Amino acid sequence: MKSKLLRSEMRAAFLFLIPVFVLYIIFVVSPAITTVYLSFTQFSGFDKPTWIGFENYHRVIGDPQTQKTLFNTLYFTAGTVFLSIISSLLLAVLLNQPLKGRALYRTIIYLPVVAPMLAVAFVWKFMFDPSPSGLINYLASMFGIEAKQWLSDTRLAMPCVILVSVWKVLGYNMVIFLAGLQGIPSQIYEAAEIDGAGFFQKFFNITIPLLKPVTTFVFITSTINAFQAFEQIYGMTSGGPANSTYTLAYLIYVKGFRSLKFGEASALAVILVLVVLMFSMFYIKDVAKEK
Amino acid sequence: MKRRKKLFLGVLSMVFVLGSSLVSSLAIAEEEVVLKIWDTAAPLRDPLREIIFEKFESENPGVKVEFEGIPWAQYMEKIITSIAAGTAPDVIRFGYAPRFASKGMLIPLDEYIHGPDGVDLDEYINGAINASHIWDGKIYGLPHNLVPYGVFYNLDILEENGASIPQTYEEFVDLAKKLTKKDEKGEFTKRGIQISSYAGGDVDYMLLFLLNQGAKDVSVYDHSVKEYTLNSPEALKGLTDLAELYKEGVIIFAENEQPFVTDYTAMWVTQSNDAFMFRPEVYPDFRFAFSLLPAPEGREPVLAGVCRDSAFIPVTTNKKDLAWKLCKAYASKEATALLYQGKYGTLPPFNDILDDPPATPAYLPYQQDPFLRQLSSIVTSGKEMISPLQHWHMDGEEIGNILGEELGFAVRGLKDPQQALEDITKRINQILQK
Repeated sequence: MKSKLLRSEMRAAFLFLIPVFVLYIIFVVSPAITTVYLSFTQFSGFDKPTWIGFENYHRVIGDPQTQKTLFNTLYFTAGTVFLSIISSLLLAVLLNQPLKGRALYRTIIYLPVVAPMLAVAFVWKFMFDPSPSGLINYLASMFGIEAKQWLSDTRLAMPCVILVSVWKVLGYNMVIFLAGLQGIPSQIYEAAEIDGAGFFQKFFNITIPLLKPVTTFVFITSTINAFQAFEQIYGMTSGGPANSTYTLAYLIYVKGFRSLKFGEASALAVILVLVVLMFSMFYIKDVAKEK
Repeated sequence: MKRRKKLFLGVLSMVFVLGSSLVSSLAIAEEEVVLKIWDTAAPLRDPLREIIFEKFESENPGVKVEFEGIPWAQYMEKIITSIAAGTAPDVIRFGYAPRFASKGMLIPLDEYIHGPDGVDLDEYINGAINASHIWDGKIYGLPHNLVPYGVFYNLDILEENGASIPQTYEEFVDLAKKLTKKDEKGEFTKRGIQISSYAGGDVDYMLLFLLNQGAKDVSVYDHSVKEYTLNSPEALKGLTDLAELYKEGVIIFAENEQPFVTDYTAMWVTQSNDAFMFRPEVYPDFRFAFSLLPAPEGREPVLAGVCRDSAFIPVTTNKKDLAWKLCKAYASKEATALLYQGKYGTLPPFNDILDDPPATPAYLPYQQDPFLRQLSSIVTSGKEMISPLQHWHMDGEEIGNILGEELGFAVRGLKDPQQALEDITKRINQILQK
């Protein structure tokens, strides 16, 4: 009787899941398999794909532009991930305190998360205008900093894009860290205080270690998102100046939809997935070992 | 029983309604041919396009034109995916015809152009057809507009400094240095030259300095070109000058008109249709002039620019003859004059409209506006308009990237100019010769 009931419930669960599976196969699995296939073909998006083996991979890996783009992507990812983790963690710790107006501050910090990234990119591009009357230059002049050609300087353009990306995602990561902080039992902090621990001792010896699973999650999701960064590049710099902000995701778009070389674009996409997997596996393995 | 009867009557009436609307829509389909056309949506559908289509429909009874405006940001992807899916319209107005043509996506128009209902190619500005409408010896698009590169001058800044528009390259450089100023703290308060960098366009304007010295990017302007020839003493001179001007702070790169209209920069090297950003309706008190980039003493300035936009016909259409008629109508003198009078600084590509505009409302701005008159006289001077390789080659995107990277680093002092030219030549030749 019990197993009949269980079988009936499983059947019902399976039936409810079928539509999701079907959609998943159509919109996720199928395009992924097609991309892998296309990476071994020459395909303009219009003609029939022609099998060429690993030629696309040889071409893109040997291309100086790909090498430079990979460097830019790692630079962007490292900058965005570490800055966003550090700043959102610090904000979460601060806004976990019983401050007046805490809810308002949390809301304000979260607001950029809901704004469309492309719109954000265009507004920041305007703010980074190189003339002294550009908003960022005007504010910088109040601190005695000379007007800079922010998005036209090959050394400054990527830091500007990183800044905008961190600003955009700050609220989201902060909320995740807040949830993690609120999951740490207060008795542990109380016990530490009794033992004479100060703020920094509590932070480094209690908060950081107990937040490790949350930090892992934020690290992985931030890394995956950073590797896929496209809209801020498209909106702010179009990969320039002098290709200094070209990232892999943007290169994939250009290869496919501007150069009509979907085979090469697919090869780059496969490489991107492998790079992201590599980073994710490395960190997950590390955390699993600790557990 | 009563309930079943009601159900039966309900189903029967639904079948009747659906069936009759299907029959009537089929009947409509048989009577009327619909031609679809796409263009970028700026604005989405304005009265000018209505005039063109109404005229076309009255000249072609039984034909209905359906226009769809596609936002610029999605346009290229939409064209590619729709042609691949077989859902493309009958006519598209866009650029990069050689890129699509090289993949077999477009119909060659030679048969129609030279046919009884054709067009006279001599009516186009010298260089317009070669600029970006030919692939493999065939014409795939009718030129739709042209935009020369040159220099805008902030007349207020020039007059304040007792300067006039330079006539030679040497005067231009001297003036740029003179108009670059610093305050007592050593911070720049004015810059001589602003170079447009919107969407990676700086490569075109950096290249202009090299071409203006007499350098040539390629020796033949057709797809069979196998050698990139920019590495020359003339190109080195142009690039070295740019690097020195940048190092001295005379040049800045900027995405928009702000530094120019706020009197931070005196001269703006860009394309003529950037005048749209500071047109009289937006900045009524702003005074400016335009010229080609002045050439070195003893040389003529180069007329370089883009004539990239075409009206072309995807291979997926099953109404080729009608599509050609619409293509021709949308790229006609009247249509382009109407469409571009609102896009300040973009010109129709025809000699006679620009040389001697007819006295009709469509051509009024080309008669009366001083800026458009000046621009018209520049492009109808008889010079051949040069369109750099990255605008008309099927691998234009990669070529443009290489130029942008190497020239960009050289101008910013991060790479030796001679080495940059050598690397440009090597990398682009690898693309041309594969």
